[in-house]
Amino acid sequence: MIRRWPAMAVSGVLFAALIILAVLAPEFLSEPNLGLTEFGPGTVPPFGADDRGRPLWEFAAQGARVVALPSVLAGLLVGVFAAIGGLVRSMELRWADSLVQAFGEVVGALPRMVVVLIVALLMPRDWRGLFPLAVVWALLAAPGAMDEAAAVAERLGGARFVEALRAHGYSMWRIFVVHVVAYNLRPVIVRQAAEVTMQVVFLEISLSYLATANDDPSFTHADSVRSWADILHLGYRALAFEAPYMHALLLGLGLVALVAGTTIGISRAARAR
Amino acid sequence: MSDQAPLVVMDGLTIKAPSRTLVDGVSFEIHGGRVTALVGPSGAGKSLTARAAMCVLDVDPGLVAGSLRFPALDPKVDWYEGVRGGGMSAQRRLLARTRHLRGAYFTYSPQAASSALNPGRTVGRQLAMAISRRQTVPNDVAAEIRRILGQVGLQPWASGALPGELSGGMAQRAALAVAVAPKPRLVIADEPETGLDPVLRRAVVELLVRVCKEEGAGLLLISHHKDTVRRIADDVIQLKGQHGETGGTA
Amino acid sequence: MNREPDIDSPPVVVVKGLVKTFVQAGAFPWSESREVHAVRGVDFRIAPGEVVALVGQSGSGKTTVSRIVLGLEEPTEGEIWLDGQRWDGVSENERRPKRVNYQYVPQDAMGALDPQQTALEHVVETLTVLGGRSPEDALLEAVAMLENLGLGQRLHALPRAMSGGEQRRVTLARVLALRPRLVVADEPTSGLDPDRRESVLEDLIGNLPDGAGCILVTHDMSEARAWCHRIFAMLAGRIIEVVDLRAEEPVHPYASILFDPWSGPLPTQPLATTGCPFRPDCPKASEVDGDRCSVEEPGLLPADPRTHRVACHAVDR
Repeated sequence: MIRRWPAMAVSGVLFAALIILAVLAPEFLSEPNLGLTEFGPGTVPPFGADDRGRPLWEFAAQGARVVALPSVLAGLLVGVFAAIGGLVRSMELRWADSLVQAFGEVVGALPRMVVVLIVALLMPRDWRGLFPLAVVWALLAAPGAMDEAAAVAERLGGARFVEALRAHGYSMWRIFVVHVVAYNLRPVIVRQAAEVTMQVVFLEISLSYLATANDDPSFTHADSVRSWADILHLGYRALAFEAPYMHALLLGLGLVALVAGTTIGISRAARAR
Repeated sequence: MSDQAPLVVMDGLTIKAPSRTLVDGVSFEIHGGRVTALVGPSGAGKSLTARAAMCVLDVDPGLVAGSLRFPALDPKVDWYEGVRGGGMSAQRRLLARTRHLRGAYFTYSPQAASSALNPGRTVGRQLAMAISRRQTVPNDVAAEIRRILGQVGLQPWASGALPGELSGGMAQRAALAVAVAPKPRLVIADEPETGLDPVLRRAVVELLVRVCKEEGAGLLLISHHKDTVRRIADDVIQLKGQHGETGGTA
Repeated sequence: MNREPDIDSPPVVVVKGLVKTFVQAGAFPWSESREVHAVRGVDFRIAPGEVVALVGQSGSGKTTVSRIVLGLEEPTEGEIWLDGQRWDGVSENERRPKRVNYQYVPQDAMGALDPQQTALEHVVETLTVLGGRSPEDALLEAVAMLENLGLGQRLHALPRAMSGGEQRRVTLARVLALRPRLVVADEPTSGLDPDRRESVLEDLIGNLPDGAGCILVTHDMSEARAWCHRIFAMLAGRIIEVVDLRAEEPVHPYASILFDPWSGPLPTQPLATTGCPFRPDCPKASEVDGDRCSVEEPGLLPADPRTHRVACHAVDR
């Protein structure tokens, strides 16, 4: 059983590390150092270099900057939707509930990855970036989050719960914001938000990897910038061709694990009692 | 006292849980055509005793002493033979061995009677399934279903209804119909009066007693309402905390 | 019961001419809607320190009356006065601060508790938010109240880990911690085993502040008899008998059956819509001259609210 406070502390630290990395990202990569024959961390600390001798920490940092804001905002967006879904159910507003259901049924039926890919392909060149895709992803994830939150809200006892607290003398604010959302919906909201944040990061990696592998311009960032997909692509060459880029593979997987670990930690920290 | 063989003879029932004795040396007889009340304070083990009489033992280590016979069925067999002290595995075997008795020799109506109904099947279908458990199945099952519904005060249309479509009171009657449809020798009703106001309580209990008597079944009624027991019980099994004894007519 | 109502002081609750009619929509949008006359004229007063039972079958209007008294619903007609202040027709914003004094114990205890709060946290929140206590004082008082109700070992338990009786006692603790002037308890013992019922009522009524009134909505007549100063028996939206069971027995034919359902023939007919609602099943209707029971609905007599009052033509008051 992962205990709450350690989970919160660890995930807090991991999250801070990623943000710091994003903040420290250089505008442009260092000049290539083509004379290198060894690319490991011993030659180019702390994470080694790519095939052109550029330090991989810059790739990691730039990648972090690419994903940081959009993924967190997407998570927040889903969190807000989840809160709305839960509140609508606990307030027993029939019309709003029908609206939410309709939204859910239409949007929920769309295959997320396909829609995002289509949007990515159709977007005008100038608008390309992770942010619009992250918003689309969040909107597509919203119905599921709202549904789960509504289910939790329903288990609270609906009108009886609200009425008992109202009769007791609590204000509507206290009933809905404190009791319904903060105490009871919190686990769902945080978990859904964290998951979507993680998914957007992985979305960015997948889209960039596709672009990199096919030598196409990226969907999600400017061509001068590198992302974590580039690290992983380098790592792939280590696996496939026994090229000397094992450190890149480890770094890439390590970054993925970092994000996953942060997500899990935050979800565990916010879980229900 | 009826001169027919008793339906259930329990002797010295003792059931233990890991930390304490749940039922300690309870003995009683239940006769057909009579109403037997099972009373006692909460925690005395009324439900447990009733389930034990149906060979449903779900506590570990569970049955440690006692014998159970159904003389009306077979005077010689002690159903607890080989189960005493045998723990959960012996109890599970007993459960499997006696499956054919439950829903046929006796039926059980739980506290929230309407929850005994399968929400996914119509009342008529559940009645038909119950009727099929009888020794001799009538030729015209549909007519029999209508008869039983009438007996519990339901209109024929209830046959095509799902339990969820019936009001609370009607669902309760439907549950009663399903309990008596297999023409069991014994109906066990576990606190059917729970949550009902006094007039409704009497109505439900009277219906239960009337239908059981009409169908020739015995009734084991678990109740904590003294006025009910006083009025309708022919025999009383009093569980005093731990020990039980069969009292005379209440 | 060792407290007596203070009938000389101003009443805690005054209900005048209470009427509540619900409109029940038809099955289809074009169907006619039906009017349900849940309460058809109820008057009573509750003195400080008085415990009153509202008894009756489901549909008699007792729950509706109790909810209107607390301001959880608005009456169609009539007046509610709590501690000399008008309570009906007042905006919720004005009522809310005063709700501290007029508390509700709902029938569904589990549904009234927050699954994410422990017993202690519930009561502490009540005391800090509604009782104006400091966190330290709130903690001490909350612990004392919970221990008083036998929950000393369950302070940090969540509702789902508690038995029905324990959940009930947490709702009681939260209500009683505010030292209210009135407690309305809606079937507080429903679903509990007989022995637990007694202790819950003892916890509730035994811990009422001095001078507090209490309305107990129940259909358990033995409870009403044991714990209440007066009983209001309701049928079809009206009070048909007001009696102090410590002194007298109910005389209304319907009330008698409520108290001992086996005492007479079981009522099976639907209630009448003209005259006395109980007439179709009433064994005494034939004793009354002419057709009075079918034509004229009996009023509560005598007029003095503190006597034994009955609404029945066959009973001579």
